[in-house]
Amino acid sequence: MRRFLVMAAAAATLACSLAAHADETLVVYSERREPLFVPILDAWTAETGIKVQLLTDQAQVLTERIVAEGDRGRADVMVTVDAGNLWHATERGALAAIRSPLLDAAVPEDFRDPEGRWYAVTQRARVIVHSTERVQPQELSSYEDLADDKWRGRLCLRTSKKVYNQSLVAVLIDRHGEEEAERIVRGWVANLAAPPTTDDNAVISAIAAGQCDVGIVNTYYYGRMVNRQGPIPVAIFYPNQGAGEGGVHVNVTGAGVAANSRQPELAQRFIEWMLSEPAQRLFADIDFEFPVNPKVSPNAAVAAWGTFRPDDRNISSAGRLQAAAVRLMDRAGYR
Amino acid sequence: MPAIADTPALSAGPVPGPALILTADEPWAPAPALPRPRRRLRACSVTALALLACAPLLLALAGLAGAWLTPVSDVWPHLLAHVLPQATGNTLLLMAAVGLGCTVIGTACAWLNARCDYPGRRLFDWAVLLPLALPTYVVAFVAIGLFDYAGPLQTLWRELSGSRAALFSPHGLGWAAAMLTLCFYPYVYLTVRAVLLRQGDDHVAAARTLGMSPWRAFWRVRLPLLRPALIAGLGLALLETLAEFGAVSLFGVDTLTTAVYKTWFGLYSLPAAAQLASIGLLLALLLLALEWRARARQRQYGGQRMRPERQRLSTRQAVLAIAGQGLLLLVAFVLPIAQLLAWAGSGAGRGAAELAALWNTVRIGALSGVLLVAVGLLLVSLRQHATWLGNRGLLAFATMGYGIPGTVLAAGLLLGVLMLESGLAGVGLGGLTLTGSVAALMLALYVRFLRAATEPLAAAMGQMRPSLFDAARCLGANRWCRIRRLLLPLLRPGVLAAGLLVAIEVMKEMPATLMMRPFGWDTLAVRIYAFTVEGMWHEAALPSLILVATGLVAIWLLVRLQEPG
Repeated sequence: MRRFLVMAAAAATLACSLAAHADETLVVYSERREPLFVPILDAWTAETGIKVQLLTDQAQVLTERIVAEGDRGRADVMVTVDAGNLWHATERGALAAIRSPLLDAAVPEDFRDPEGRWYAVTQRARVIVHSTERVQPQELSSYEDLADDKWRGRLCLRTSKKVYNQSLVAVLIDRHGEEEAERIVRGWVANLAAPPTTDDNAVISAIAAGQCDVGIVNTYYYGRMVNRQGPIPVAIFYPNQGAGEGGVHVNVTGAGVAANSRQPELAQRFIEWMLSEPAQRLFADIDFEFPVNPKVSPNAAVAAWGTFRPDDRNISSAGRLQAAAVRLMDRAGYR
Repeated sequence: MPAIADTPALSAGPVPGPALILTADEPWAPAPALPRPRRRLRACSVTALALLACAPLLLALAGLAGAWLTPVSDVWPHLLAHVLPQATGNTLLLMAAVGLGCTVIGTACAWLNARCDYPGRRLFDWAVLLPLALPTYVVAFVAIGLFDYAGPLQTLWRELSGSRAALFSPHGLGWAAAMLTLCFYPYVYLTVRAVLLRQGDDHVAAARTLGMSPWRAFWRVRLPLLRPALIAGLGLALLETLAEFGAVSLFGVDTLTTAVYKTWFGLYSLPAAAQLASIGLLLALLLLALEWRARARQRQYGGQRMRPERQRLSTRQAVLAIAGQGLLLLVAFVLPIAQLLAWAGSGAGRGAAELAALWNTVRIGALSGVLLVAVGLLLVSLRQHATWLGNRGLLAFATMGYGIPGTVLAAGLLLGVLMLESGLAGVGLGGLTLTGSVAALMLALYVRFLRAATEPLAAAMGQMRPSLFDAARCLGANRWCRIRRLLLPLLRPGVLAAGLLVAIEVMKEMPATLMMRPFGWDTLAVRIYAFTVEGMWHEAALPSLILVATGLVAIWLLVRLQEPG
């Protein structure tokens, strides 16, 4: 019996030690992976003395949460990867429009919501990677070309469940119409050398190991792998650089002020800070991504991959067509 | 129902006293006949308490109800044509395969360690429980890292053979089923082993003297006798399989759960996702109904006072037993740990963050263990008073959260709690905030894992002979004395098993914790998720190892504290 009482007392102590305490701080809801975001937040706190409370989860969960929390919400800023997620957050009314000359100057027009509800803070390029041993760069041209028969049994792709592929296909729909986009995706599926992988690393590893010859990945996965393992027999190719081919598919991590923020000025200040040159440099160095602010040049390792022409349409179009892209990939049998 | 709790001794010691009669569903003391008005009053109070126990789950369902009732005419034709047929088929196939695998492996190991004697039995007796400490998503990412084309195994093969062709591809239903089986067979092992330790051979012997062949006696007598235990363990394994997300998505298998995720996160339709999730809930209810039916048809067996004889294995049999279980442990435990160690060695160490996460993990594990056991005790003791079918249904319903995918459940609960908060604010109680507090997290874990607490407790209750309590009453022991001196000591193994099982499950849980945790508050599972989702397996290895080590401590406690003494 005494043991039960001791256990009850221990439970009560635990419960007390867990009691939440509130603070006057900036609350950030974020889908960006913590290890890639915490250094930025630490730098902000070091510079301004304002603490940040971070809540990470899936973008849609955070969106629904902001909507459901209403006036009782505590979020100030929402940060999420992918234009589709940002577009969906605006559709659900989770983000407030802001006016900021500072942000308008720092963020190119294609990388922000026309109404000012979100602004990109970093950009990531989704490119073709190829084996340096079995593929010459001249053989490659565009995402569309990977549907060609000559890549039969040589292509590796990540699962269609990943939002990066969804927005890439959304762009294909935007550019070519649904019918042609489906033909391209079916071509990809027919060319697969292995079942779709769960992440981009596996695509690069598979090319390095010889399972396939070409694949589509975000550049920073390549950067990370080279950083860890040293040189690998895989290289980056910037596709769709020819006239009329659009350009490299670029996606963003974006931030917006939560619609129910109680301190929108502070939230806006934080976003402006993230787009300032020092913070942008930090973003550029932290994970091989491309800065959004044109005044900041990419990290040296990233710059060594060369320059490219990004897709010229506003990335929010990808968001609008994302659900259509998911359905298209289901129909085409891209798992 | 015999379940995890009736594991009186994982040592070879003598079976302790109370486990004399093996009953399937027998309450420890039957509800005395009452006059009609009092009976009605009692039924009402049971209903009230049962509803209270169901409240968190009902809150979660209420949170989803808004979405559920929203018509989504545009998504469903697509789901029906391109997603559902395959997802449903895969889910059923996966459950069938995992069920079969767990039955075979769990029962075989239980037979070897409960009924046979061979060198090394005492070691294997607890060692085969070790895979319980490994979360499925960890096993999955380790398996892919090891067996993928670019992994060490196939790379070595290519170097040796000079061929570029892939040996195999660690994707698809078969791999997912195999890995889930390796994670879930301990449930069946625990329940079946507990029964085998006490079940006599007299029925089988009787059948044999009546002319049955050994094989026929096994099918007609032994298996039916084991059925309640098997079903109890299988129930946990199958509900886990139904709600599984991490491992199946890593192996690229489309199931109902992954379809729910895709519908919400890819097609941006929470309504359709909620509707899709209710199919999963229906399947879980169906499983429960089957479990009930199977147990209702078979309520009680005569027990045996003597511990059954162990069969001494011949040298050849012993070698086979050791090799088989050794191989099982190698694949299900040693190999994953070795790979994790290799990755952790090459990854950058961030000890401080992991330590904070460990502290949080242990705290919610311990707290929910105590909380769920307390509620579980209440529920299980209510069961014996639940003569009305509606009450029994309610009590069973309270534990249904075990079969709902964690994210859907947590989303429902989050929305439900927010609704409740704004409702309270509407009546002037605006100061109450639950979201982002540990209380909200506890609520989610309660809904998700209550079943892991009630089943062992029900099993422990089922072991008690009503006559013991009658005898105590005859000897003049009052109610308090009977509870303190008889009930609680007899329940001790069940309470410990339930608490530790809940703690192990809670510490491994990811999606609900992710969604309901307080701001800036990490558990090990959440940290693992943050790395694995980006394929950063080297970085995920260290928190995974710490999580496994914590689980091992809990399993060690489970084994040690269950020993009589």
